[in-house]
Amino acid sequence: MAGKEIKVVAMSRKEQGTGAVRRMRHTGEVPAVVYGEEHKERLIKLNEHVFGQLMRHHASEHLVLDLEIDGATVKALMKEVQHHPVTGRVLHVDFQEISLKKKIRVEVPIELVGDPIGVTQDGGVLEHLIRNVEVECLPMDVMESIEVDVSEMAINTRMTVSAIKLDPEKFTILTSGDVAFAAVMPPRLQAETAAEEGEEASAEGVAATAEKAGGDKAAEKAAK
Amino acid sequence: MPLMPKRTKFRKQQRGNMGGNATSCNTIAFGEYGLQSLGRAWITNIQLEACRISINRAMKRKGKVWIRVFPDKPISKKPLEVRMGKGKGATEEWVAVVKPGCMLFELDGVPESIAREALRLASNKLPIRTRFITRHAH
Repeated sequence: MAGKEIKVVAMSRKEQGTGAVRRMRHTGEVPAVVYGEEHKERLIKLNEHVFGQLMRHHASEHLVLDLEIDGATVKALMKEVQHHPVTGRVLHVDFQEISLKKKIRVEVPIELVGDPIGVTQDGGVLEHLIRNVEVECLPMDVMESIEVDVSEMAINTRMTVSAIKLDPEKFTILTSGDVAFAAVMPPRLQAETAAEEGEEASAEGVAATAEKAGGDKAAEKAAK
Repeated sequence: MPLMPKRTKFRKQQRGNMGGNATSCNTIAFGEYGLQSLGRAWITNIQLEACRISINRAMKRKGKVWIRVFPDKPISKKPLEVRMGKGKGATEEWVAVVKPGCMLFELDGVPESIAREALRLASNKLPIRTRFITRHAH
């Protein structure tokens, strides 16, 4: 994301409260708020369609962007985007006003690249243990994701946050270096799968005998 | 063995209600693919077990499965041909209360085509409409 400028146009609003905000959503607008250290929080609204398109083109929901409110532009970090649990529609957005000279803390997603040896050769399972790391950097250096090559990982190995290499002058990783973010685990034991199979077979057997018993009773009834 | 609590504080519960949408457990938290409910229902522990077995068979014991709901609500029933009264019936089954948006299962470690097929088979064993979702699309 560093270097790219994203612009979002917003309008200030006076409506607040459940009913007013619900009516606003019906007209295709999304309520939002901007807050920061210097100013008091401001209530704004965005065009839902335009904002939706912006979200579709970016993997991260923590973008640094130029927010144009009634003609005046401020740099803001997208702090939180609330979605409807069923429809996925954007319900509300939080923006934090930032200074370009002051470092900020953001959650950056980790993307695993490549197929580990432990998976391709030994049949292990690649587990993604944590998906975000907290990074401190200047607003213009915020990355959309961190790509980590996991193709060298063998079975029963794990990769910790300390293995992530970023420019130390620009970035400070705040997540503890001991925390593992990816692991290649061995495939499930044969004994375990056999036990599971046995359990399934016994369940099927019980069902079959129950059906048979039911059939016998029906036959008896018919004979009577 | 179907899922059920090991120990409960009270043996029987009232029916409760299932209003609204799921306010928590409605996003993919562990895996790459998920099965999200679009309806509301009591999902029994036997239905969940049937889903688990069909998912494991479809995945050919590769990858990893997370069951995001737990049947912690006891449902009591009176025996057949018993007159009303004489107290509440015995616990017959355990259910999970599922609302729209609730994430039921999550999968990881398999290609999308296999995950899609596994969750389709699981979905056929449930009494509600569901939706397959991936982490990126989510």
